[in-house]
Amino acid sequence: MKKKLLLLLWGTFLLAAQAVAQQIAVSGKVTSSDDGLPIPGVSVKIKGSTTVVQTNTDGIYSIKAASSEVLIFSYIGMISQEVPVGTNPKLNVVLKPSSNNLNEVVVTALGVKQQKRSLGYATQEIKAADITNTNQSNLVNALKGKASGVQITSAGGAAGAGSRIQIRGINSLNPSADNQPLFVVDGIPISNSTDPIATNSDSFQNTNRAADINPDDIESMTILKGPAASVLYGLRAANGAVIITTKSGKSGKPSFSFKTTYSFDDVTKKPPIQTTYGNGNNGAYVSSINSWGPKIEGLPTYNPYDLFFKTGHQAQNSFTFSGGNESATYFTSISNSTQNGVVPNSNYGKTSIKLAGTLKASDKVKFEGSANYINSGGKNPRTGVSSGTIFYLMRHTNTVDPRDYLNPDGSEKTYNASINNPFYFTENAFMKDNVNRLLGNLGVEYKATDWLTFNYKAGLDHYTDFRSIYNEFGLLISPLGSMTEQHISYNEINSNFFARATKQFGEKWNATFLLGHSFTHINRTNLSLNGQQAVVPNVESINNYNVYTTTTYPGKKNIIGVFGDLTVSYDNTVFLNVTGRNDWSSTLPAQNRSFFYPSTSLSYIFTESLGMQDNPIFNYGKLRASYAEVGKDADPYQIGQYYSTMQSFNGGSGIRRDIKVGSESLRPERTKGLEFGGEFHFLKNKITLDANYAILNSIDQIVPVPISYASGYDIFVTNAGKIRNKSLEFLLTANLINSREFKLDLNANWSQTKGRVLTMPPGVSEIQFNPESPWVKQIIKTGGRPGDWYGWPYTRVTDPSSEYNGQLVIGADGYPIIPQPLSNNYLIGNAYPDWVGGLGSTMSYKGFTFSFLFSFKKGGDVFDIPKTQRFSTGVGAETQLRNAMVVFKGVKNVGTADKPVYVPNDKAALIDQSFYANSFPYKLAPENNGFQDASWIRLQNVSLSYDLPKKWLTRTFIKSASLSVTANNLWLSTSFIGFDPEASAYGAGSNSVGYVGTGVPSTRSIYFGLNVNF
Amino acid sequence: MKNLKIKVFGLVLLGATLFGSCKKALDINNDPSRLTPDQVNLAGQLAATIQFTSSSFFNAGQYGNSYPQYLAGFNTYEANIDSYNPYGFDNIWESAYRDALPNLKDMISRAETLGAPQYSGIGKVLFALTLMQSTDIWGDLPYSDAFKGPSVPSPKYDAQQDIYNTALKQLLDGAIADLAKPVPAAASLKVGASTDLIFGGVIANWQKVAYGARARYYLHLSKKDPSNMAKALADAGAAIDDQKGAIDLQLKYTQDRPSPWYTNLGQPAITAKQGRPSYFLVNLMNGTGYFNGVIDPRMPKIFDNNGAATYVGRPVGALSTEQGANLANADVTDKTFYGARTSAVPILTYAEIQFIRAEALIGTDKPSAYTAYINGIKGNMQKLGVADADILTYTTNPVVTKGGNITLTDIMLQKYIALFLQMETWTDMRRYQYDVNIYPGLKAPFKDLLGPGVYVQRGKYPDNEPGRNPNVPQVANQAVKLWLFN
Repeated sequence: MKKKLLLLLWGTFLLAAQAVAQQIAVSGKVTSSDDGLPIPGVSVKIKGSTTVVQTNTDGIYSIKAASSEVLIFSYIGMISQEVPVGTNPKLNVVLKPSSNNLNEVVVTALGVKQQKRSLGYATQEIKAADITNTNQSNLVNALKGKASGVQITSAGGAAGAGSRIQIRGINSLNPSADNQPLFVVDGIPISNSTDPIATNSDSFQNTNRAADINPDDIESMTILKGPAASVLYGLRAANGAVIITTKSGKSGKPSFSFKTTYSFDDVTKKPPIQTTYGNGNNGAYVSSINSWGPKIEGLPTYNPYDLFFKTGHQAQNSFTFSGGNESATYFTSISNSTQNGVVPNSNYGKTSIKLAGTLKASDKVKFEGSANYINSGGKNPRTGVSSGTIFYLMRHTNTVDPRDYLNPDGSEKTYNASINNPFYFTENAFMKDNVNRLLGNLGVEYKATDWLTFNYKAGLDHYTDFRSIYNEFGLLISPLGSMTEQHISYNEINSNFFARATKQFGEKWNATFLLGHSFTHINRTNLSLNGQQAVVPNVESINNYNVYTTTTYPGKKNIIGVFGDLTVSYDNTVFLNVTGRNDWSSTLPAQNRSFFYPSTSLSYIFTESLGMQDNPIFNYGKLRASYAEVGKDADPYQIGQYYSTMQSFNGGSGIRRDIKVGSESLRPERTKGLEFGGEFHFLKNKITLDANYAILNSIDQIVPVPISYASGYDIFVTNAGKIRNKSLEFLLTANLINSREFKLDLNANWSQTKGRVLTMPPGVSEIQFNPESPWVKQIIKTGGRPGDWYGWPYTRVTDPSSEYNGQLVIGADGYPIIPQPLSNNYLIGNAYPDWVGGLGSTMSYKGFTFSFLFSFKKGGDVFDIPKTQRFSTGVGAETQLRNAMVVFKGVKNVGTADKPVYVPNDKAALIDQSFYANSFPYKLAPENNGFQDASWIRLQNVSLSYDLPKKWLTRTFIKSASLSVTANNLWLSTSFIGFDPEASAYGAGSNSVGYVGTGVPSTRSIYFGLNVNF
Repeated sequence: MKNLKIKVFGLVLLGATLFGSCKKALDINNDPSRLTPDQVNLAGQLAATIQFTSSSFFNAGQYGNSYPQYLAGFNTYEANIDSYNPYGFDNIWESAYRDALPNLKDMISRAETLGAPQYSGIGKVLFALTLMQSTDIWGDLPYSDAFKGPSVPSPKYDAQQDIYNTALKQLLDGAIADLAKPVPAAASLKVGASTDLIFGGVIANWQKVAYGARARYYLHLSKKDPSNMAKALADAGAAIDDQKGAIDLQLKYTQDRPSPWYTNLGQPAITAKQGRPSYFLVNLMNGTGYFNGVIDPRMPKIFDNNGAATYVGRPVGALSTEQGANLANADVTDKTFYGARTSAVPILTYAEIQFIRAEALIGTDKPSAYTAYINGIKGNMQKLGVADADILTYTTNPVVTKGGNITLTDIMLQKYIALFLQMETWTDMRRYQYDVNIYPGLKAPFKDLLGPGVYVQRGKYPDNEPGRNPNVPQVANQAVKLWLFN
């Protein structure tokens, strides 16, 4: 329950006291029915007048009123109460929390708290408990399945793996653009970069930097989904924003809490292997990595997956200490988490120390500040789509024990020189990283008068990431050994100033005006030192190499913004909001660097006008609409032509022209969003439905357009292209039972986003996103959708009048055929899901609380890279059928190409190694090359907790304690064959969605936890 | 209220100061880690373009070698590109059209602006050699519309006929003319020793290369017009003339920057090699092929058979279980001439010049043709480090000398051996349309995806290009002949 000092806009004014006869002084204490604690900041108003006072930090108020008058006690999140004054000068009031918060506040831009009812756009708030209950150490993962319109894709089960969050689809055609929302902590943006070692890197599943935040520090998270919501944050929030409010101390006795959890993690799902045929080729034992050998008779078999993956563990400990008095509060936390991954030799750890405080210097001046130091990092093996730990694991044969991988002299023992042993590789090709980060902010609020407030806040996000990437001498990827040391330093300074005026006009009109200025400075440096050709094997030091290359990738940008925001409301029922912001970005050419964008939104609570507040069936209905534009700048140094120096060759150093060139007249990108929605409460707030429809047009995109090499360049950065995304979102919550002993809540969400490419850059017919193989490509083109897959499906009968319609067409050789020529690509699917949803419930009985959350994904095709490997190496269970003549089910054409006559196929074809591994057309068809539908239902989270009865603790210093068992990703149902199809091969920072199977696979985790407050 | 006014004034002042410093805060968009065009110098561009040109010749050989049957696919490449599995040659396209040619063009125009004719001359000859190799692979290519930057993002394709008759002619004539111009006095305009990675600034050698390149050019056109043979002969006379190969056009790699052949073929374990010397090539040298009974002393220099008594090649386009592929024992390893860590990627050699002479003279002046033929063999053997006694034995063996009465077959087969791993050979073979009289013993791949007995005529356009350029010519398949060979 919230007990923040919330100032209701229309309640803060004191007009001249009315001269009322027979006034008496009434005073008393307002407490909460929840825990009996006093509630500060409750507004106490004389009904029908404008006289308002507020309770102090001890919940005490005093007011002068006539005995005939009625006092209204109201507080955000509580049911308002009306109490006649009568003759008793002492009026103590107990407020009950409203089960469905009609007066709920949400934190929107710049840390401003607004009544949810006033918002003309969609937001969704996730409470602290819903985050910490998941025990996810990466807060982005804690949102899985909970937020509608938000898609979260983790990079898999590597220790500390990053996660990608995307709100309402891809807005940018740029394959390397940041399509993720801005993360804002206590009003100050922070970095959520993954700092991949290269664009679309498949080598490591780097952590996304928002994961540094200790989830136990979070009070609430609000997701601002569309541009209307995030417009005040400017261009960096063009993809929406995740607003995090951290906990602060409360006045009163110091309070301590301690939480500890320990987990058991294992790989959710593994591809099936065959154990009938052993190592060899073409049915014979020969030296080969393949499993196309003779039948295994009497030999032991080994499942490489089962032997390789182990049980991982995460241990998290978190301690908080907070308190304060009327003028100052403090909050401190220390947390530590360590993780040992499911892959040998992998780990991750995070330590966070936070101090936050507020100081009321006078009635008018209030300071707040916080500092958060984080150390995080770990060690993970190298993975990849064509080499790496998982790649070697999935090719490993079934008759060789992969655990037997060392020769007596310590060198690698492998059954074939074309493969590295996965255990050996894991121990000898890895990345270590170590992040030191400081997040700090300092703010001051000055209440000049009762209607005017000035607010200034400055924040710092500084981190260094020291990485060391090591490849041992003698590995297939590094026969001579190599090592890279990377020093990343990120420095972001934000300064926000705003003045906020609020005024009531007459009884019903209210206006709030905000005017502000912001400055953002980002300076990123990345110094990379690569050493090649180890002098001495097995020495992990950058000094140990023959040839060095040093590169630095600096990036500096400044953004200046000026913004205004006006809200006018009538009768607390109709709200109109207009905003405007102008940004100046250093990354654009001088003539285009200034750009303005407006927004407007309207919300109307029609049930209030209709007087339906007390209607037992339908008591609250709000309609909202908004339109907003957001501009987006470029990355630093995109404009114009540069040359680069090359590594010295025999004493001569070369200069080459860069293959990327940027337009000198680059303009800012624009995203225009139109949104309609509503919120409806039924059965006295027992059931709440929030529905939203949004159309987002992104135009003038800054795209690195791939142009013909024959132009002299690879990439031209220019404005081009238009994408439209349409999103439909529903959110349903139901408080079915809410008795003292038994509570039952249900919540469900469903969302769908459909993107469409409306125009492409001139002269460019298509842009390919990271084509992994020639077999399946992700291509965007006019009329297509982002994430469209292209390939060559088997030819089928496409004649609705034919009795064979839809059947495979079999060639003269007895094999299915694919359409020719191969220069034509065919649309075969889309990487984005048709819809996603979540369904959860929480029930509590006495001290027990049980909750579960299912998440659903319908559609979303993925390219499973391991499947091609399972086929070509013959280790996959799919290749069990072999060395047999098979008549493919389908038809053959006995007519001509133009006038086909189909009859059932009767030609038998040989299914053997050559068929799976070498047969070119067979490998091409998406039916065989790893292309699969990855719809799923998963039990995202299930949790059981028990609060120890208070009476057990009365004689101890412990205030409350609970025990919990939580499981994440416990159960997965999908038709997909392979690892858990969620984990993206290219990591959290990449837009190449849908390539799966080569990173460390996803895990399921079971946590045991203890929570103590004292 | 007065207090408030002061504060508002203060804020306005603060705001004004901030806006004043705006411009300064926003003018920070120059990348300090890279060079602007005015910071570029010719010497650095020369070092870069030489490396790019060398890479593009290596890349052509790396996968293209299956076509002239120098190498047969092995391991994951068995019966793959050597079976004419359509392969987009993206790495050749990338190294030529993205790296070598635009940088050469940039260097040429900078040199012409600054008045540094030797730089532009070297640029033109490297440009011509790269473009000629490219058009020999693909045929029609962007040229007249190409390298104009983003204003022409999808250049049109010029007919091969125009590339040969206009573009290459202008480039080669221009190179010879530029190299002959007086050397400027300014040091920054003179080709320096350190960044001319091939000849250390000796322009006379570049001139010989330019004549040699034009000789190759005229030879290619000799089928279109036999009078070009005489022009080829004339240019060959002014071309690379050091029999030991000391002034061959080739980039010699170093211990620190290993040869791409080393990384690609020499260094990997046998179970990871992409290709093995073919049956056809090894048979020409082990005494079982056309030069029957002659053991070629170059075999131990360019192949490694792990000490076996004989050398056996691998059949082309076959799986390991087919056609005796499992019997092969010859490999390119780091112990061989081309697979060594510090080996060179040859682009134009003395031996080739001699075989151009021999081919040009065989119809008119057989004794001179014979002299060139023997010089070519000797040049290649000396370069590979064959002992003088072995050279003498080989070049006096009647099976090789034919008593001076050699034929075109002898010339082309000796050229075939001498140009091991070079794509120029594929152009030779297509000039003679894989004629079994010229290349006796040559067989189409065992598994031939173009159809039984059909030879490959052209490279498939790169997979990278169609999405970026709608002008890519549509070609039915790789059996369609190029204009040059029609």
